[in-house]
Amino acid sequence: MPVGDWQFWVVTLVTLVVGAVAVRSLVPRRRRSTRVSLTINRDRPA
Amino acid sequence: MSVVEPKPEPPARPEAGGVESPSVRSLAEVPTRIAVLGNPNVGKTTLFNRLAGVRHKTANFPGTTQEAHLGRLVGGSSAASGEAKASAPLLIDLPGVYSLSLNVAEAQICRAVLAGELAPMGTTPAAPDALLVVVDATNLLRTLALAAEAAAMGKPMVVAVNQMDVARRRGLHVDADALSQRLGCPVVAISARTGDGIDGLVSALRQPVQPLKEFGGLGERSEIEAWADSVYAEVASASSPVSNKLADRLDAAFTHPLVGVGLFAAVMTGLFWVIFRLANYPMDWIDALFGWAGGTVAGTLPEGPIQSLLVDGVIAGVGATVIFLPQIVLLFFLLSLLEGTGYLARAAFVIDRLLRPFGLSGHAFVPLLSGHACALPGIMAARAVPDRRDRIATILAVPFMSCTARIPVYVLLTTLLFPGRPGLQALAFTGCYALGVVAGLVTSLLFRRTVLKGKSLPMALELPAYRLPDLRLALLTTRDRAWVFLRKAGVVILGISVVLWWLGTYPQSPPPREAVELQAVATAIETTGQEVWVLESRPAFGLVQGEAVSAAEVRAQAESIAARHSARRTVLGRLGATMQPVFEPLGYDRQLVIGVLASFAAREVFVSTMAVQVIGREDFDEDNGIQDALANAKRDDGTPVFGTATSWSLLVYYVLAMQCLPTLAVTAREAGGWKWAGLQLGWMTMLAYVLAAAAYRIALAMGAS
Repeated sequence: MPVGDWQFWVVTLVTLVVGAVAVRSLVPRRRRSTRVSLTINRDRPA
Repeated sequence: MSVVEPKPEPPARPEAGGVESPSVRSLAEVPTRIAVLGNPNVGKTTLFNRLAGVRHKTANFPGTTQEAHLGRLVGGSSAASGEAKASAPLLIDLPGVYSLSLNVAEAQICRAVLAGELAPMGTTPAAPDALLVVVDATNLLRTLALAAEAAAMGKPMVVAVNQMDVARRRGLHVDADALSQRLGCPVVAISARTGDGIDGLVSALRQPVQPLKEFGGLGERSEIEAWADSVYAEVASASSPVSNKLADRLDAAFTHPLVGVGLFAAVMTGLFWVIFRLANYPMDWIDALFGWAGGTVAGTLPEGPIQSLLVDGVIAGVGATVIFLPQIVLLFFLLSLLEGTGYLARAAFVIDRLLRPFGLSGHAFVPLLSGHACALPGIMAARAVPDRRDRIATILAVPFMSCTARIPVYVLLTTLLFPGRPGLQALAFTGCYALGVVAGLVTSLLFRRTVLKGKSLPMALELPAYRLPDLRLALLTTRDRAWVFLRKAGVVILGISVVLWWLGTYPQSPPPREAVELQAVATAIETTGQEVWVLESRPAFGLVQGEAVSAAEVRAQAESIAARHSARRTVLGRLGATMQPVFEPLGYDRQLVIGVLASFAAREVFVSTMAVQVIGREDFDEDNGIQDALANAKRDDGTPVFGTATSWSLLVYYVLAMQCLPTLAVTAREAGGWKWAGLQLGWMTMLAYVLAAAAYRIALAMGAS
């Protein structure tokens, strides 16, 4: 690896960041529950 | 019939029932959040676009694949601007439902949003303080039932009677005043398509009124339907017998078991012809744009890792994705126009008969069709499949359809298999498409009989009226789809391209002795300023005795040798060498394995990866000589890289293998979990591996090299 080349470190850092963003966009986020218990005609607001 | 404008004051109501006066039932202030509710195909989304303008947002309801359109009530001729827009009521376009009490995802979402338990992503859940219920003037009887259910919730509301222009042409009359009396809230006759009545609707929405309390007593479905019957008899009338012979004839043709299938084939052939014909131009422009960008960056920045990252990683990676955008845009635009005419519902009806034996419904045909452009929109289009099992089976089948990303690979391999024989190339090309369709249908059949076992819901499909498509709606739908594609696929492809670039670049190694010597020879030739004759063949140097070579040719040869040498020592190259035994039964050597692995994330990368490895150049499309070089490329043992048996094996592999990471991500999102994406990857890879190995063995047995 060209560890003495500053450009190597720049492109490696960019690769890590862009790769992390891609992985983050691939991993599904935690879902909020959609369970509902509304009954039509029974809980009409007063 | 003239469009009925809303009354500025809330309507008068019968005194029976002991309800309070209209002024008490209306909101003291302009509502802040209005939910738009309506049956499917009543023109709800067209109306929403009218009311919210083009700057609305599209988001999903959390944890669901249902899209929610969000916007501010800024439509009408007196459209607000600036701060007024920001404080305008928030409109939430709910999924189309036939009834709020149904046990389907759309109705659950509507109930949850109306109860304030759910809101589109990016907004805080809160119960809407008013409702806009959209009913269809041409189908009033059925759509009235939902209005009654909405009224039973007791929220201030406004009813929009849409498609009045179509109703008028058919001699139908809807008395909006009478309907307003029966509901106890403003009723506005409109045409979302033409914009008639929109100003009146916007005014009414600023002062919605709570409907009559008598709706609270409508509990049973039969009571609601009885109410709808009685109201319909009172408010709707026909000035002439409602007959539409042309529509009846068209329906008879479009839904005919034979004629309908033939017409469907003709329509879809035309659709794809238009897509492939028209998309070529913008694809060429995009290709040229990214080529220019790459050239500019290469010319501006000094040679080095940063320049290489930008040119070979970022620009090449993004360009490889964006180049498919025209096809996707055209596909969704044309499908949206077709849907607007009412034809797609008829086509789904016809195709249902063909797909049923494979465990799919007619709803699956649009996703399967879209999958031929790109699996991502195809899988996203599977949202229209109402039955969960059918939907997941569709999602699992879509990636087998031959998408445009496979085309470069098909072109390369069919040309290598049948050089100079375009008829056989076309036949093999068509065979790839057929193999993909068969594999998709077999996949569906298999999973519907195992992990997705269960009876499908019968396809209940409403055949909407024929009408002129809404260009504005088609453009907005296309814009939304294009943005979703660019945002999701673009980010992932960019990331993968950059990571692959790094893995394929490092660790770097010094050029081999042959390359160094050739560079010295090139320099020596340059000093003479003439071509020189090769006195002795040196295969390792690519030099043939008796041929004249220039300094540029020798230098190119030196760079090619150095590139191949370097590629073998990178992380990706070493990975290829390690994985080669796994692909041995398929006939792939180290170079092909690197091509297969590099294209794991995006299959179209295969061609450029092979070009880089074989000749150290990526300009495959721009130089036919590179194709010859690929055809003549040799393995380490001196045999051809693309032997006949190996090429057949590769062709089968690329028809069937997943080789598309964004597709997996979208599958996980749309099917509701990574287990489906894992199943898809495992099944497709296994099928591709087994059948490619079989193709290789069969080809060898038949005497292929």
